Amino acid sequence: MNQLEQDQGGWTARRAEIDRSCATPCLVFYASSIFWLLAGTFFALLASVKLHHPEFLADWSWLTFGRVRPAHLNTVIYGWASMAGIATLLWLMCRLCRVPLMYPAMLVVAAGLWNLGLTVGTVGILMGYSTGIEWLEFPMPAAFLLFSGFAIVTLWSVATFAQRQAEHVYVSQWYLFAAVFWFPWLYVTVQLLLMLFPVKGIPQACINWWFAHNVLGLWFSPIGLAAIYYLLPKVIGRPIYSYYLSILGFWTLALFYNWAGAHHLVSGPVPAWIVTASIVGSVMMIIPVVTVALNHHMTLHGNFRLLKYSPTLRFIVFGAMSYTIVSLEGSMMSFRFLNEPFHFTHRTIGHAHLGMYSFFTMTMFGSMYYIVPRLTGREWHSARLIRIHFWGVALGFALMYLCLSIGGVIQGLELNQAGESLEKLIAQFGYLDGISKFVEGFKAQNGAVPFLEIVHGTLLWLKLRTVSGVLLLAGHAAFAVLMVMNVHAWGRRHIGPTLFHDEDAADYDRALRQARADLTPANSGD
Amino acid sequence: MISVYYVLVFGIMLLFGASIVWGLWWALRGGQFSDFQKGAQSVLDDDEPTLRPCDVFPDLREEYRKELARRANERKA
Amino acid sequence: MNYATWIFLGVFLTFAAAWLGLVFFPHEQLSGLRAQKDADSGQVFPPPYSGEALYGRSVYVREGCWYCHTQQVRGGDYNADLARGWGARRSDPRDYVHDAPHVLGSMRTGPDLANIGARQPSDKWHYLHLYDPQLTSKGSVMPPYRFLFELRKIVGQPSPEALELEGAASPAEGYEVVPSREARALVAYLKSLDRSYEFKE
Ligand code: HEC
Ligand code: HEM
Ligand code: HEM
Repeated sequence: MNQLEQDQGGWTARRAEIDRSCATPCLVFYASSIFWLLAGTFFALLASVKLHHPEFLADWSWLTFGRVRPAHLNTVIYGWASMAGIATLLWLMCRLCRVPLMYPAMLVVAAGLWNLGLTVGTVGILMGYSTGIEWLEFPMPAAFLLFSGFAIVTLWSVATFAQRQAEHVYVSQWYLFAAVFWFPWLYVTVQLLLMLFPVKGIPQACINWWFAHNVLGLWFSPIGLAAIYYLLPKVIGRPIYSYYLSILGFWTLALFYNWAGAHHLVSGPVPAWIVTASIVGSVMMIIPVVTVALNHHMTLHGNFRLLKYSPTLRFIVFGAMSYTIVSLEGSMMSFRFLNEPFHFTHRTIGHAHLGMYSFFTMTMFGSMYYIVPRLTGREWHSARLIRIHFWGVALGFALMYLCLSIGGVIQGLELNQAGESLEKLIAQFGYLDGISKFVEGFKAQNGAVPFLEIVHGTLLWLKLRTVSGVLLLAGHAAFAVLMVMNVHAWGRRHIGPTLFHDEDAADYDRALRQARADLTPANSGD
Repeated sequence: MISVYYVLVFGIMLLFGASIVWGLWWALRGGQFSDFQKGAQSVLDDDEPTLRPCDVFPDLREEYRKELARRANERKA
Repeated sequence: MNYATWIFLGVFLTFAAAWLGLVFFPHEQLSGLRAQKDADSGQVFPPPYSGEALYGRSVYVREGCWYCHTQQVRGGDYNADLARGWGARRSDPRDYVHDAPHVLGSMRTGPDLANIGARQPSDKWHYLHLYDPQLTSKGSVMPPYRFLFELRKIVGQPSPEALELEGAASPAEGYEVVPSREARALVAYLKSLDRSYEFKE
């Protein structure tokens, strides 16, 4: 055995050691996240049904729409998305620093605190103790528990980074490291300004949206992008197309995202310059988004057939494409002429799910398909369940986005067709004949459309959204079953590709590597 | 109370502004941006089974191997 | 200064200034706002909430009315907030000086309520509508808030506050439906929502 082969054996052993050290805390976080995903989906469906059948479960104050909706938002955001994100973050951090996780038991404590906070918070909202601030409805004790749990995660990430054995800081690490600091910064600032030095009225609204926007862009997006930048090269076995662009993307995101928060208050009772600054920031975001999009696309180029074979790749690519779409859509939505008509409609909810579901949630599913087998040492049990999961959520989401968008556009045009507003909107589309004609169809004939008629117009789309929610639920249930099977060792012990030690792997590798070295000098490294 | 608020606001601003600048400076000085080719490769360990199935539907394994072998041959040709 | 110094300074300013711009300056500029006192009439605008309205406001927050109702009349060219009659003027930051949490809202499943007190001053309408929106607005998707009302046996004279329910909605013989303390406070809050006063510059 020569030196090189020894080293190589060393890396394999090291990876296995790292995966083993992460196994318990990451699986605890993942399992909890799936529990909260199911809880959140349940609340989502309740809220969705209530929007077209208001009598449904109406006499129980705990389940009135105004409490179920924040219960949905908070369970999916802090329960599902954040917990899945933390597990992914920890695993990626250890893999990229090439060191095992120290004292993993403390992270199980963190997961415990986080779960406790979520339980207190969700029950608190249902009982009527909401703070009344969107995205921050959890009452104070719950916020405190969440923060304590997160403090452990931050400390552990710093410690892991400090011990790193890798020389180069890969682009994913930049994103992860930033996320791990940004989240507590946002959360503490906003809690201090809303609870400890309570500000009132409009300054409070500014801080509210500064938080709600940044938690998307500086907490969820970086984790999602970090996972994509790691898994895409891993799964297709070739490096990122342009590493330079990926780094540029990171730094421009860090600079511009911060500015965009006030686009949630366009034309509202806030000083106009704040909104204008935010619109500029939102438009500047095109730079990082396009760099990321170009990079992902070019990396994948020529490998699209692999989507058929790899579950990870399917979900990750779905997520990556959605990131581009949601961000470009977002930049458009921040312009005044597009924001004002559709601001308060289901169009915004469509955008919200395009971001949090189609981008972030799908990316997390993909990450879990790759990571969990490496933590448990077992393959996924059932290809059929994976397919049910993928097609359930893919079709379910497509339907949801479609009906929220169509319903939202109609709703927005009807709500705003009185006065001069549509004339001015049409003028903006002067050169796009089809759109102008379409908008013109909504011009007020004899006074404004009565509000109740607008409400009736949305019913069809809201009912279809409930149907989409059932598809999503089916997908989530299939995934939960897969996860239970994997963790409880019902599935057969792995033999194949998900890990790296099948019997013929060595031969197989050597042959392929030889072929690759002969043919693709650009990718073969030094 | 008010002065605590100002200290907090400016303290946090300076802290975060400074930390991002420090991060950038550290990365530049440490040569993180000097060799992009190496940076991109760093995510793939030398012994990792690139171009071999490392994530695949449980029932498509054989088909996937054939596909990869086909691709390898195609490139050779 | 050399090239790199300028870049670092730029990075610092872009990053730090976002925090200043979106959090600190709005706070500086607006948290000093106070209600205005009219020298002639002695009235204060916006008028402070009464104790009961304030309690009603907490019910409004707790029941999440603000997920379906905004409280802001926007300016701008491309919307019809004013044309729909949701207010006589654009909302001003000063309208909100008594408000915490802010309940500006982000969704218009229902109409804007910034001036509902002016638009709908009738107690009776509000009670019926809250008890069951179908009674006043057939086909509405607003949830009924029957849990804010009490069904009780009529003892002696019927209560003057009892809801005038007809047909299928009416309670059994000898019973009446009356608003709870929370429902009364909530309606007091809704009626206080009237921002038709003007500020003097
Ligand atoms: C599911 C969304 C929803 C929720 C939650 C909701 N509403 Fe409504 N609300 C509506 C809709 C839709 C209308 C328009 C039709 C109607 O009058 O019922 C409306 C109308 C109103 C109106 C009459 C407005 C007008 O211009 O005539 C008032 C007042 C009102 N709601 C108050 C409330 C209060 C108070 C709450 C909380 C206890 C509440 N709403 C919760 C959807 C909602
Ligand atoms: C450059 C990128 C983006 C821009 C410029 C942008 C812009 C916007 C704008 C203008 C709104 C407000 C819409 C309205 O209320 O009228 C909004 C809402 C929202 N966006 Fe984005 N967006 C971007 C990316 C994303 C991403 C990546 C996600 C998810 C991870 C996301 C999730 C959301 C959500 C959840 C809301 C709804 C917030 C709420 O009302 O509660 N956005 N976005
Ligand atoms: C299972 C299917 C789901 C359904 C049926 C569903 C449905 C809903 C409903 C009914 C609302 C309230 C909209 C309103 O007030 O008009 C909502 C809001 C929201 N949901 Fe979901 N949801 C689902 C899954 C998810 C998931 C998995 C996420 C994110 C991880 C998510 C993120 C959000 C967000 C961010 C909002 C707030 C949007 C806003 O404030 O503008 N949802 N959803």
